[in-house]
Amino acid sequence: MVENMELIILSFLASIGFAIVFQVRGRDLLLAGLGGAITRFVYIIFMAFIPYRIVYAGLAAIVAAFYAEIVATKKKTPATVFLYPSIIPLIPADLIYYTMGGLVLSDTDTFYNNGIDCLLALVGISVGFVVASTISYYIRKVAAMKNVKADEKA
Amino acid sequence: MKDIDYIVDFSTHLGREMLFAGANLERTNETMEKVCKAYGLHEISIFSLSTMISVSAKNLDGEAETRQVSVPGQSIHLIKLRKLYDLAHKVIEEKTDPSLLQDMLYETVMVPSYNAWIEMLGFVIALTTLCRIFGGGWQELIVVALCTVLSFWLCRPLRRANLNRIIINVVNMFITTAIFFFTVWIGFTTEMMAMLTSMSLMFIPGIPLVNSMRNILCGNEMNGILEFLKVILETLTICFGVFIAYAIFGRWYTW
Repeated sequence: MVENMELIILSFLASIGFAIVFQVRGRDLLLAGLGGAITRFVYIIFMAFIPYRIVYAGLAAIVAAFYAEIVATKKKTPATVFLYPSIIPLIPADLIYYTMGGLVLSDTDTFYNNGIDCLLALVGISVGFVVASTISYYIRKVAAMKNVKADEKA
Repeated sequence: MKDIDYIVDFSTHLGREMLFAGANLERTNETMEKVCKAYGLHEISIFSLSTMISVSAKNLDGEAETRQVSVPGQSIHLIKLRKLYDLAHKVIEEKTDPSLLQDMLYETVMVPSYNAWIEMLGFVIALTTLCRIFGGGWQELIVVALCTVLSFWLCRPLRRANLNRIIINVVNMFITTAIFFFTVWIGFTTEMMAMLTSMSLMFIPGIPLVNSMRNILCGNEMNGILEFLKVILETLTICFGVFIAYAIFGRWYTW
């Protein structure tokens, strides 16, 4: 539990660090960090119940994308501002490392297995984004139609 | 110049700046199309890749205009991206005088960046915390922090000299890996994986990697595949830097 708590705090800091690199300013930095912490939190929870990285990474990506959409709607900014720092905990850096190690050492099995896992994790994350952005798009569309109807009635 | 010239010019340059600042392709295309439509242009045709944009449109008099611009390599600048979106919304809602559009865009892209020291601090915070996440102890954190500072200041003149990114990646990863091997050899650190993984994230284009896959899934296959190949190439250059260091200093560390 303590270890998980540490991971969440570290993810918060890592997202803030990358948000600075991505030129995010002011209070948005804290929101970007919070996105990283939330993503790590759900990632840990899904990882405990689901054995496949493609699935739990995808679900965590959906949560990260929804978080970014909600905060962006409130702050009237593009979702990208909060999405990019929030997905930092999802980048499969460990798999990239082992794939890299396999390549350097000409260890075909390590290279192949980790490379495939890395690719699957990326597919999972991307599918998560696509699902979340499609749902958000339709929610916005329905809300806009409701507004038009309300204006017509008025 | 006619109004259509100003509008098509503005929309292509707006798209260029948005892609350069890190926007995804679908949103960029959508914004460019909305700008053209707001001014009554029709038969709008937009073709864009992460490296170029082409926009064609017709006005109500049937005059057609086409513009094509190249997009420089992406450099994520989210505050600039936010201001560009704000500008696009303002232009779409207010239908600003077309002759003023280019000046407004010019003013918007002149957003100051953080100074170098703050940017470096961002990298240090990000990479040391990642090193901790991957299991690094205090010694590893110190080494990663020092290597981040070194790489940051090494990259700046190399980028200013317009040196190819491949060479920058190879040189940086070679130097940092050699330092990691040395610190393991003298017994100061033990967690090679934590150090190398966190440090490589300074050069691995993680966001473009995820975006490329997203483009493939969203129907922008051509751009997605091109982006993916670019990211793979950049990752391979990182491996090459590690490999050279391993070939020379491999005796200091058993992988």
